[in-house]
Amino acid sequence: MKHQSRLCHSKSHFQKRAATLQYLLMKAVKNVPLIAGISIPLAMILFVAASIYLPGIFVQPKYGFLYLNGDTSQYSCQWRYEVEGQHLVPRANLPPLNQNYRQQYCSVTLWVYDVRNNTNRQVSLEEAQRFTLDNSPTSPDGFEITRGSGGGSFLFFFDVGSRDYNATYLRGHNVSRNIDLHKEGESSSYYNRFKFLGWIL
Amino acid sequence: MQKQELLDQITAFAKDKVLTKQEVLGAYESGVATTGDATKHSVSLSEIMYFIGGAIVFFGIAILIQQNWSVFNVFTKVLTTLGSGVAAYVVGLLFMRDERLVKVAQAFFFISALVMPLGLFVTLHQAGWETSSPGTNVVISLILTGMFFASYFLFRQNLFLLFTILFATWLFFAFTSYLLGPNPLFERWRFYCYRIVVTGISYICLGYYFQHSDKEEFTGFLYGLGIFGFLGAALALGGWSPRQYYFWELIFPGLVFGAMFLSIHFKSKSFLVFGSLYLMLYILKITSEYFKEGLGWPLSLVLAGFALIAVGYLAFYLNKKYIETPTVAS
Repeated sequence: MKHQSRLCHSKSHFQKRAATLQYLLMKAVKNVPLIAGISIPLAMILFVAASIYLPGIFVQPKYGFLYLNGDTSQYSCQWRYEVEGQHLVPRANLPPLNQNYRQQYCSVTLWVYDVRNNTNRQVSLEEAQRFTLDNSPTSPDGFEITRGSGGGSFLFFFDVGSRDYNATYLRGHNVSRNIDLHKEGESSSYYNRFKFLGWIL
Repeated sequence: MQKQELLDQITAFAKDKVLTKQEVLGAYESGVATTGDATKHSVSLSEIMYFIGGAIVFFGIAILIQQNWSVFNVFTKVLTTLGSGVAAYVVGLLFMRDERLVKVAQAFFFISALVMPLGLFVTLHQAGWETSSPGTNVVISLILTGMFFASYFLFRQNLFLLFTILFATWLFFAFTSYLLGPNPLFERWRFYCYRIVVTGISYICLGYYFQHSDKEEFTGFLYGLGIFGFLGAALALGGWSPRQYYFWELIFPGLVFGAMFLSIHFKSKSFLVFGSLYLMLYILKITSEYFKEGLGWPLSLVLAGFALIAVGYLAFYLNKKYIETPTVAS
């Protein structure tokens, strides 16, 4: 009798548990669209963050480069610089007009970007001429120099801000790494004052 | 299940703390809502007038600050915008205390929701922040999302939930822009499109959730905006010849037909209408992209025209047979 009563009690307890479980399951299933609605945008945020930061841990650019900073427009420069036979060659671009004016507005400095330490070092023309250079746009390990993208400044659905056109990146192998180049002069003309000369081999 | 059994079950669940009083009341109220007054959620003319009035107040404040930007000092600028937003919110709270004035309170909350972002932009601008930067937008949208979500939790007003969704969407766009910055890793317009696709899916999921809850009035809005954005962005991702993306061009008919058939399952006219419209756009796009040269433009137009008639008939047929019932989510 006692055994039967215990059996009955455990049966009702089991039924209660099963009903509770069924209720919780139904509640969870009911909430699946809500969970999906919230977690899908969150998953995209994680994906964007991972796409930006993760590949950079595994893939590192190896080659630094030589660049010049200054008035890169050859029409107002006395000198222009070219890479010939893997070495830097300064070429005289003697102006037919006012030579003094061109010299005055043509202050150019040569810089080496160190890719390992993300630093810049000014070099003399003699030192720069000693480097073995590759002037193709893509480095031997598959990276290229690109400028930062910009968006509009619309509210809400459109890209907000991000108008830093003077940001420079090393891009390749699904990695895009921000690099700090030497900047001088007005901020609006940073990018125009930069001229890539060649990857240092 | 007998009534007594059900009550016993509720007692047992309450004892085990798996069921709350609010859930029982919510289930009861949703039952009453579906069997009882069918016009409970319909918007009355007076409510429409409240919200139009709210929008006009917002435009008035915006124009006032724009016209007097150089005249107002910092304090006046902040007071006119952020001060008005806070004042409208407080007035809404005061009206909420009287049950007869709940709808008027909502109109004031509506003014607050429109003016508050403007006020925060003006305040941060005066504090020297760059208002168009993603960081500033993240801060503003985060403040507004938090504030309106907390308000919804406290006062259970649907208007707060609606603006929580809208401000959270803004936060999503601003934060992803902030993460990316000027990084050229993703093509900018494709990044917009992917974010709109994700937002569209999210809205559809939320709409589906609300369809089976006591907040069914959100469903039409979320379904409409969700499917419009999702299909629009998917179509844009296909690009245009010669820079087209075959994956999205090939998958698009599947997405459109999926939307049209989901309209039957969801009982949603938005899915059917936008599905049909986007299918028509797709037919025109593909015809002009690929068949203009081979078949010739006139013949392509004739074929596209027949295809559009077929799509129109399909939409009419689906609507008539499966959707046009008394309970439509719109």
